[in-house]
Amino acid sequence: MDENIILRVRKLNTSFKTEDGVIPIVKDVDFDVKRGTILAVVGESGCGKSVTMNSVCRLLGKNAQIEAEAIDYMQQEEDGSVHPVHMKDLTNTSKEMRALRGKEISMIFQDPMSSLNPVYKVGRQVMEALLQHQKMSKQEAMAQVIEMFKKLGIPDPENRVNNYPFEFSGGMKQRVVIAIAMINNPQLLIADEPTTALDVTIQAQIMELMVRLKEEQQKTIILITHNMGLVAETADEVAVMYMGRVVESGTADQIFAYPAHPYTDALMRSVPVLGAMEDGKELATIPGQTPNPKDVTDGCEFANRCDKCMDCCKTGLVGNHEVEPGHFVRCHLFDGKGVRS
Amino acid sequence: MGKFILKKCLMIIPMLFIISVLVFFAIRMTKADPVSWLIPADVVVSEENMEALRARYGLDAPLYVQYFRWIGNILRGDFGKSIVGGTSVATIIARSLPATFELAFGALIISSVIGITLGVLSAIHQNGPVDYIGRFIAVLGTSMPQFFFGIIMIQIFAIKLGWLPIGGRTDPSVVTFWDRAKYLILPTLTMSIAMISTLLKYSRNSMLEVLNKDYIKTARMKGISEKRVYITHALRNALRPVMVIIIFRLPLLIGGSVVIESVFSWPGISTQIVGATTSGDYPVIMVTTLLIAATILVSSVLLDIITALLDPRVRLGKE
Amino acid sequence: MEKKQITSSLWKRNLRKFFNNKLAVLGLAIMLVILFCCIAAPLITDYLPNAINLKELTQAPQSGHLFGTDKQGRDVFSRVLYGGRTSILIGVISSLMGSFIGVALGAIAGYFGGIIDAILVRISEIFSTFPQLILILVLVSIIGPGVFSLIVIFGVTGWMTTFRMIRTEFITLREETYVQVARAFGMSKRTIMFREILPNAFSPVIAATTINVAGFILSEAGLSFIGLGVPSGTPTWGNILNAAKGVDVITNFWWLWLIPGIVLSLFILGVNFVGDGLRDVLDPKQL
Repeated sequence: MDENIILRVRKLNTSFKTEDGVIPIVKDVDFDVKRGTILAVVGESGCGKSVTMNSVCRLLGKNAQIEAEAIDYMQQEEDGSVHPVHMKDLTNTSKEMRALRGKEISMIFQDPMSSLNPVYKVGRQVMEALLQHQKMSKQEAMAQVIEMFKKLGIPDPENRVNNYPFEFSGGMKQRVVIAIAMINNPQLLIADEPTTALDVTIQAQIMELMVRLKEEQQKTIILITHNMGLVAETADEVAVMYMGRVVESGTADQIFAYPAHPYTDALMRSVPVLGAMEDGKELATIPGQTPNPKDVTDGCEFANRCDKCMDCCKTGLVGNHEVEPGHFVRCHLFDGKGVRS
Repeated sequence: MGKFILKKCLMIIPMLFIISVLVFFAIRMTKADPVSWLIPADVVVSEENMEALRARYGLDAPLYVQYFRWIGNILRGDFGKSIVGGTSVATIIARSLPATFELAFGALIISSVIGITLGVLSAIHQNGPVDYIGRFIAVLGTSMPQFFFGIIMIQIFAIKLGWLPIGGRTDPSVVTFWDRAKYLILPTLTMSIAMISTLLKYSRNSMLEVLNKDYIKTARMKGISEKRVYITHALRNALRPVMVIIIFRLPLLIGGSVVIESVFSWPGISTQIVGATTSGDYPVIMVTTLLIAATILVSSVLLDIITALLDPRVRLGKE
Repeated sequence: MEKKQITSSLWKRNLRKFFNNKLAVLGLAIMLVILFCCIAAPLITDYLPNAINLKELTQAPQSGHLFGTDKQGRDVFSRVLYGGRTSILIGVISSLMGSFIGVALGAIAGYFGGIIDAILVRISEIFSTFPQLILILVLVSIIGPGVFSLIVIFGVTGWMTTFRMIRTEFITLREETYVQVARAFGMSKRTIMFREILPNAFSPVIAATTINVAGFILSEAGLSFIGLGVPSGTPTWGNILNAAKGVDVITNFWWLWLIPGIVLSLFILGVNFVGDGLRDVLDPKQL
């Protein structure tokens, strides 16, 4: 197996039991995350990108059913050797799973306002994560927390650790959340829309922080977002999701140069990307609405909104085509041909 | 924080004033002439004597003067006398209030412990067996009249099994704590059942809501044990709204004791009020009602303060 | 036209959702059976509820007397049916009255806000901190017992839940665009409040009203049980159970308390199930 890969997911299917029956939300999702890169998972809200990551980390409720061919995390020991952890065999609350959480894989959630427990001091909340995985005294732990706060640019850390979440601004809260995620020095950081709830200037600061983490500490980051601008600025690899499927994946360069899937294309044209847009060109919108997951049963999920829809798109499964090395597209347009032909 | 507590305590005074005015005028505005209760029906009393009697009880003054006289006396610690037995109202209260408090606080403790525990467990094991048992108890508690439940308890535990006494705490043999506890079990349990079901429902929903919060995911992502997630992170947040419910239910417990006291012939304050209501003993009604209102106000302020202490936002004086 | 279609399909969906809830359907069935029997009491039993028969004192349930007879030889079955009429009537009317008061005051408080709101909220707090039963006792001592005074008392003391609901809904809805538009069109305050906002705020009230019916029937039973409710001449579920106060009755004549108690509990259970079902359908935010 490729040693550069830190997380490998194959044929992940997640469905939810509801009053209206079992509804599939994530369908046959495959992806690889390369060590030391940023993978951006892009898609509109409700496309299953968060559910995918929550499935990997086993954070879903009892009504969720997770099936997968493989969810493998490549754990790197201190001596540099790598061995895989088969996460699909672990239960939600097993010891092995808990040993990974925080220590190897961390996650940041969308809304910093609600990601911190309102009734505890922030220092204590960060310290809890540290003490869970490492044997040390509270004083030592607190010193590390203060150190981490300093690194993340939280001013006056010695006093701020004794504040409650409500005494922080949104951007500072998100830094505290990142501190919780990074305190145990995990290798993989999953950031679920980390900047959506923040002001634009704060967004830039937080993203800068994440890119720095990648570059200075060789962390791997999965960035879940619907913001194509963010993807263009930060991502190395991109996976575009629509209605629970990865419809296109490849390196950021490939995808931005040749957005092959009509959905990716539409998504890109609908978002203002600084510098990537020609003057005088108007922003496009994607016609129609995302259908209800339980209404889509057959054919390509995007068929009803696609301007290149053909008869063959309305029924059956759509194949996944490698249109150039490492660039995959799930669309009938590429049946038997590459992206540059 | 000190300011917050002071503000809360000062709020009691106008509330009590309003309630005392309401109680006094509501009861005294009734058409029944209080003096007529004093005279046996078969005795003919001249109008002159009636006037003298009124003057003796201070009933000839205008109502508002009577009100201030009454409230003034209460503030000085003179609660007046029962017009039926002539006993001082203070004695009646001193005799019966502790009994009611025993009942109400016993029920409060039992129902909080059982209700919150079952509610939280039901939420954690949603749709599991505990959840179904919880739902059954909740339905039972809201659908059965308390006295009916009480009668069933008497039938089973006192009459059939003979384990516990039927009622009446006044027995001279009741001395030790255990003796009293034996008398307390059935009434408090009966009284708790409705409250258990309410608390169960609220704490279950509150817990379910909290468990869906992002900070629970954050906590789980730290790798801490489920037990710690539930106890440290979820419970404390889930209990805050439940505390509010307890505040709202407290009056029901004290007022709700009316029926329970009747079923178990419990010598409490409600029994006194019912007796006073049927015999038109207005000094007793007025003071006891006022007293209950005061107790409820004070305890709700206390609980307000406790709730605030659990919330750092209020505790630090920033809202 | 289109709006009408949306409303009717919403109704259909709600109905389907309600009937998918097995407990709610069971509750509805129990409720309707008991209700029907009470209404049709004269057709079901030949005994009059107050007819004393000294030859048949405290008979156990048998073919002639399905639920037995009480200490005055009155047929318990007939008393339970006729008593149900009064009890249910008290519950329904009081609950409607309480909701009416609550909706009116809640609409005013929520729509106008400011001092009016503050005063009304204070009043509702006083009403809800004060033990309802004590309040009722005081009121009973003022207006005297009886079916009518009970209804008035329950209505006056039972409006706070609806008040809170409607007030919160109004506070959110009054800022909605459609209300602003109505205001800009110069519609009168009353029209805006009751024609424009109320229909959108009303559905939780339906469920609350249903559940209050159960609460008031229980209150009536409790009050009559201690002898302060409906005078004993009129049979109600509470009055029938009042007869079961003595230890001798509990020990020897189980049918005098167990059967009426079960019928009463079953009816309340039914109403509560229906109320919960309605709440799930109409007010998903609530408990």
